Amino acid sequence: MEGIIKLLNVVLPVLYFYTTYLYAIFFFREQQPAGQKATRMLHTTIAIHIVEIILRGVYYRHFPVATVWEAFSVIALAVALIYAYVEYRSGNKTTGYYILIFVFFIQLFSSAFFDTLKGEFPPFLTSSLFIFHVSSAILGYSSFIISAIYGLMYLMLFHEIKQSHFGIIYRRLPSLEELSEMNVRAANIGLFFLTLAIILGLGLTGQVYVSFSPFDAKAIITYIAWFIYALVVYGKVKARWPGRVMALLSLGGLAVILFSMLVVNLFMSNFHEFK
Amino acid sequence: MDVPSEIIAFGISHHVAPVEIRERVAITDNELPDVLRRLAEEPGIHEAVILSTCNRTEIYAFASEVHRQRQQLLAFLTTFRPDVADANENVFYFYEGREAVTHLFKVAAGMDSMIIGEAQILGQVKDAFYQAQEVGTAGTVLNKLFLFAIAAGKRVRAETALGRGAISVASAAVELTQKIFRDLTRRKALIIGAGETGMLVARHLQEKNVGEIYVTNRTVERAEKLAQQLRLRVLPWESFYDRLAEMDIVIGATRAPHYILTVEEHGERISHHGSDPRLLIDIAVPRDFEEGLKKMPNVILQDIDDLQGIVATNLERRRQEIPAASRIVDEEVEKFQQWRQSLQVKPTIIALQKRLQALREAELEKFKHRVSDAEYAHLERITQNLINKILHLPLVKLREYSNNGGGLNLTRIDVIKEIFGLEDTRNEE
Repeated sequence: MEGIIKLLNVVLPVLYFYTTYLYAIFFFREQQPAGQKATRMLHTTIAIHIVEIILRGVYYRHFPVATVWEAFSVIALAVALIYAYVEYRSGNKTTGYYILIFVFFIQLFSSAFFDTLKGEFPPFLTSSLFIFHVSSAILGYSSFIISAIYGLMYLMLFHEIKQSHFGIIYRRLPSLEELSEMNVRAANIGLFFLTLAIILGLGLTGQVYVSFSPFDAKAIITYIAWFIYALVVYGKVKARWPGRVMALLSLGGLAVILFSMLVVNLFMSNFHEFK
Repeated sequence: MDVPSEIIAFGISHHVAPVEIRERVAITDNELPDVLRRLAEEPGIHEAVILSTCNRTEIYAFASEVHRQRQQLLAFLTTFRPDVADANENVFYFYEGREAVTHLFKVAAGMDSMIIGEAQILGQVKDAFYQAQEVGTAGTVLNKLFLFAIAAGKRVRAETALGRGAISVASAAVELTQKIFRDLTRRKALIIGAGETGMLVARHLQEKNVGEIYVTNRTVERAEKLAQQLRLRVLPWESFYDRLAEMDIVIGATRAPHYILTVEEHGERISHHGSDPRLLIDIAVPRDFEEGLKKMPNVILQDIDDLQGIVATNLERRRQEIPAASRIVDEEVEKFQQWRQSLQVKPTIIALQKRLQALREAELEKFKHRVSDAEYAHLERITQNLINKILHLPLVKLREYSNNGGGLNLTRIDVIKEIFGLEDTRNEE
């Protein structure tokens, strides 16, 4: 089974690349059939990715987020799933390229640095509280990533219109209002899941994170990300800040998340280390 | 042997004739049924459809004696439009066969329109077809031809950007509005100036269901007149500045020689607009809105040149789509030609089978009373097997011709007919 997992691990970035390519064709060349093909390809890729995650879980006997690179793969799947749902609901495929290109890179890193915990591992990795904690955190981060990508698209379109450039970005992206709504809605969902993850994480501290410190780098970064996206929601709902302020904030939040995922997880000792 | 029939297209369009000639030829909806009936009675015309719009009047027919149809159709037009006789004969075009089919498909796709890709023409092609069906002048061939043309038009629209993007300043203004706001029913728009341009934009905004549309004008009577025409709301000129802050879209369309909105006087009021930017569209010359407003952070200001830029970009994009649209048209023409080919091949196959069966039966008849019943049955089996073997290869080849299409194959079918002495079976279906 390990052979199949390793093969799928190589195949997945290729599939995401091809899906992204189809969405790019749809976006830039405005070919309707490419859009339909892209959606079919996305669904196929997601199905294969789910199979790969299940195989990993079954074969290595733990929820496959024990390492940073495993978590990357689950985040890639979560973002792709959320996007597929958004596309299904809105019927709009033009944002697919921008989301999927991100998914491709996350999966590429995950596959390139493929590793997992083998043999002996802490029993909490299979506990339901831990799985809920991690799932919530992943859904939270994935939603924040989507929020930031919609924020980026908002800024691109705003800039194009403001500068009177009426090219492909102007023609293909949805309205500023729609992009702003998606930006804030995704932040809202992310906030809900990350709050849940933090609460569940606090519940786990007694059992799992023996050396937990509230000043742990990962915890601090998580609070900062939470705070930034809370500002995004506050800015829209209460303060009525301009859409581009929220877009900029969510991009700042993404920078923090990436810093947390890469730098903190890889180079700084912290309490989320299971090895 | 019957004279072969072909699809022909005869007509006049904006490409070759100015409006003074086109209007002389145009056929009104009321006249159309009668003209179609008379046309179908013309010698050699088996089926007919007439497409008459402000940019073209075209006769599509399935006709025999194709070589004389150009003159005949011109004479036909002259009988009820005597003015046509004064027009230069060269302004009329005449296509036959594949060329006529391709022309119709391009017309339906909007590729032959004055504004490339305009959507109205497809509806007009459909109407022309339905009218001919009602009158009974569209038969097997033109029915299929127009169904293929409509399908080609739809495909071009769905698979290319030939019909996409605004192509007038007023529609570009509305397109821009839709790029800022998704749900226009919740939005308020103010049109400053009740002239022709203001009215055009108001009409477009209304079509897109903008929630509330206000109009203001220095001469209030003009604003009221426009408001009455289009069911808008009027804001008095003296107080419209006070309501500026609540407007999502502000359109400048006055003839004032000075700015109506300036950074110094109105900048503060305009720049605060919650989450969504405020959209200012200035279609006035001289301009109504000071250029400095463009720099305000949450304001999007576009003037007439910007909107014309949108139109120019869209038109250029439509032109770039022509090769892709042509490919689709060629594919659809090919499919139609294959269908026509199959019409010719199928009766030939049946005729060939009948011909050989008749020969076999005639020969068998000679032996019927000379041999025993058992021997006769044996003879029947042998001759049937022989016929099957003789027919096998020709039938396979005929089916191949049917699938491949092409003029050369038509000639081959004619050769087969001649060799076996088959009657003309064209278009019997």
